[in-house]
Amino acid sequence: MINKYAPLISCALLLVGCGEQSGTSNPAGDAGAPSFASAYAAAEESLAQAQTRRNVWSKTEEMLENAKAAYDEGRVDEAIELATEARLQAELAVTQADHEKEAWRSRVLTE
Amino acid sequence: MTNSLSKKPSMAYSTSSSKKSGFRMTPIFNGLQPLKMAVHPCTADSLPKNRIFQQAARTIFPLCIAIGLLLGVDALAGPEEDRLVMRNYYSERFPDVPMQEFANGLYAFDEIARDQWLEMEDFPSYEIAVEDGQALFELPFANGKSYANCFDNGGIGVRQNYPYFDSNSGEVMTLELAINRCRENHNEEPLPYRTGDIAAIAAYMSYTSRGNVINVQVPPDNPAALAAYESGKEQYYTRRGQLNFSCASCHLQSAGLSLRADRLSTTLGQATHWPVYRAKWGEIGTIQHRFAECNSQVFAKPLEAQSVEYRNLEYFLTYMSNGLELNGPATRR
Repeated sequence: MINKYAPLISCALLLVGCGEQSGTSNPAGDAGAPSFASAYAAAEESLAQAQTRRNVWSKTEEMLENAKAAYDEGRVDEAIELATEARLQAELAVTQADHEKEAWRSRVLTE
Repeated sequence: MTNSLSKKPSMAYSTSSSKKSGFRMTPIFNGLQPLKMAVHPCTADSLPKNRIFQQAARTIFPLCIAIGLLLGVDALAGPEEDRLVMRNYYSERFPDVPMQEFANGLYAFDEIARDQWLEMEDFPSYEIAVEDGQALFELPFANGKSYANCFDNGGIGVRQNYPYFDSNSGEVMTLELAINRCRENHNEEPLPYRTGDIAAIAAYMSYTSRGNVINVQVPPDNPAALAAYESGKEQYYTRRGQLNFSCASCHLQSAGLSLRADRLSTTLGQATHWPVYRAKWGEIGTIQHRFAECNSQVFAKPLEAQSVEYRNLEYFLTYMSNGLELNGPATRR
């Protein structure tokens, strides 16, 4: 009996699982909150590192603000996308600043 | 206002005939002293003509040259070497532009833009700012003192000495910072930086300094001053922002090239004419207002006006224009 219905039960459980995962597209769904929270926190952390280096790209902070606003309005996928983009920008700014610590010397005009 | 705006910006070759004929390099490098090489005692001619001395001379002579070169390099090391190298770079890149003409930015080499600029100078947009600045400058503080009490020579004709390194506070002192320090010392609220009243006051002070030669000092015996200069140099060459540009990317490597409808100005002369009335701003603004705009244009978040970084950058940038005459305030598109 169990063996007979096992595939059906598995499919049902799988579908339920998939439904919960795709909750990120629902307005401010609880299932999406952890993903956005982690994306946002990671972006904030990278941004803080860029700020410490005094090298923030001009759109990063605005992007992060827009991510928060999108999340508050229930556009969770868009919010995660914006937060991820902000994190990537901040990481690149950090990489740029660290590289430039010495790289600038090679551009100094010499005779 | 008692002073008329009769002092035109420096335009050594601004006549229509020269505009048609083009610039010719002048033999005089303003403020640039030729390297004085003393006659070195180690010369073969001055040695006795016997074999021992001649052999010694063959050994010692190259050594003397090496030592002399080292001494020469040492004398030029640091800010002054940077300045001379930069002047030579632009002289070679723009051989037809007289040195003082670099004070006029892209109008030194863009004839069409220059014609438009000369038309603007007939009725300069900064005129009102200069008048307002004079009124503000002369307005006594609540305690009866005024800006004149804070500056050498009563604040008249002193722009050429700014920025300078203040050994007491251990920081670069720009003119705008000095204006606000003056206010604070007399119990007045500091003015917002970048535009507005502070730019107007600076415009008046610059106007009274027209024709004076920039004379920014980096005292060689002051490591903190040298560090500030080096920090400014680092700012100048450091790439930043999403476009990954440095000041040098545009104004050194690409100077004279077109960027959309404009041509990029040279670093040399960029510090001579501030504050500036820019048509796109619709008001007069300080050099650090322009720094912030430059940063924004390469998608870097601007730093705060009068931040340590911007002041150090202004220190470096102005030192590069040492020897050029001040011609501010000015108009730009």
